[in-house]
Amino acid sequence: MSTALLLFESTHAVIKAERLLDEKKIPCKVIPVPKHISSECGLALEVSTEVRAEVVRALKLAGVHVTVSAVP
Amino acid sequence: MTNTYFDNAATSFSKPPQVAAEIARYLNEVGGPYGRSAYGRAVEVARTVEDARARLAAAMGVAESGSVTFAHNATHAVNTVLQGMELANCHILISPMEHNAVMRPLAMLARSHGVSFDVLAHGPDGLIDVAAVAGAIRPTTALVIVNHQSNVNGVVQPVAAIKRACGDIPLLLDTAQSLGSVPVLVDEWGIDFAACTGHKCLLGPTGTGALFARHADRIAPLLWGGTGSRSSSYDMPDFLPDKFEAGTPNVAGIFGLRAALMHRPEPHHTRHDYLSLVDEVARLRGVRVLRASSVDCQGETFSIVHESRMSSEVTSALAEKYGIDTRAGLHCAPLAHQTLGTSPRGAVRIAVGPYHAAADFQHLLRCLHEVLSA
Repeated sequence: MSTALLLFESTHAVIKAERLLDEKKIPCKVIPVPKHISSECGLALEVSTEVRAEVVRALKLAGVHVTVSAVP
Repeated sequence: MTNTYFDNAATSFSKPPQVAAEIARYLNEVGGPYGRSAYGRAVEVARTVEDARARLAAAMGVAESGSVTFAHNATHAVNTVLQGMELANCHILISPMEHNAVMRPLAMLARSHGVSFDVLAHGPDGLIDVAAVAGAIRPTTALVIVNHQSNVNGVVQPVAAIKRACGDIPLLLDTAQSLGSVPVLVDEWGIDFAACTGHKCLLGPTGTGALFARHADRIAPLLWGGTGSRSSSYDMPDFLPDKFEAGTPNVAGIFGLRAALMHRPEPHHTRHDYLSLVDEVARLRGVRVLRASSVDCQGETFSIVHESRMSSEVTSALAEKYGIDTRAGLHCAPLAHQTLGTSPRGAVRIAVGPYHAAADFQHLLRCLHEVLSA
């Protein structure tokens, strides 16, 4: 399964996003931000690329600022 | 066992047992930092802290939990607003029951930044005259500060009506004595800033509190330091909650606060039990009770003054003879005592909590009667 990496500006935003995706039954995984990616926070979320667009829409709707890493 | 602790306005006791258990669980089992690392225990800490934030926001009537930033206490939160806003040469309106968490920073701002302030018109019990609020606003009025529930006589202010009267002037609501005991509806009332503490009516540990900021862009941080975010920059993040959370937070305390929010006990007494206590104390010979003029505005704190006995003498006798804990003096609220005509003499404060039963009130009443009759 190919995955997309979601980056956030704060720990608060990561956990808020995780809770929101849990509520929507969208699988996600909290992971450390890979070393080769410039990070604003130590945590990131990994989701399937199949749901990436849906996830970004949902997070933006909830007011959570998210960046999708081009290098998962 | 009789509950003899009546100093809950200073700090609540007892706490739900889960509070200490969760603090111990963090210290002994979980460990790890908040927002600095990504290993398993750090993620558990992040989830727990954020769950606590969400629960605290819900208790405050705040939908956006990110606008609730953890603080050491309400004093810390009040200072973040007063020292962070651009208030030089501005005018501030305050409630007549303010405590020194507000008065001392205000006095400092008056000396150093030309800030002026006026006390809102009020009744004899300190209840703000809502009809007079709009007329007190000047062109330079930049902030209105309201002590939601007095820590001296327990009067609860009509915050929603006050905010309506203030219009666009930002309102800082101090919920140090109210959150957890009386409804706080920050979003519904349109409150701009709110300060709270965790260790009083919420029954959490000391060293916990929070600031709600609807307009974080209007406040500079009080503390500058690491947040775990934007670490390459020497500037503080401009987003919440990180903007106001420099340095490692009180994670152990926040674990305990979360437990308090999750396990709040049902009161062991009724509203009628409490109001009856106030009435019966008022009937004791030589006693004047400091309380709200209307029971609808009465929180679960009141004070007494005796015609001849000093407040410190009464509290000492209650403690030494009966093990009853009350607080004497000015309660860090000299303005409130000036408002009530009890400065500088002070009063004996009786602050109840949810663990008091009607029998505890009767015990207090008997002991007070004996002390004051001696």
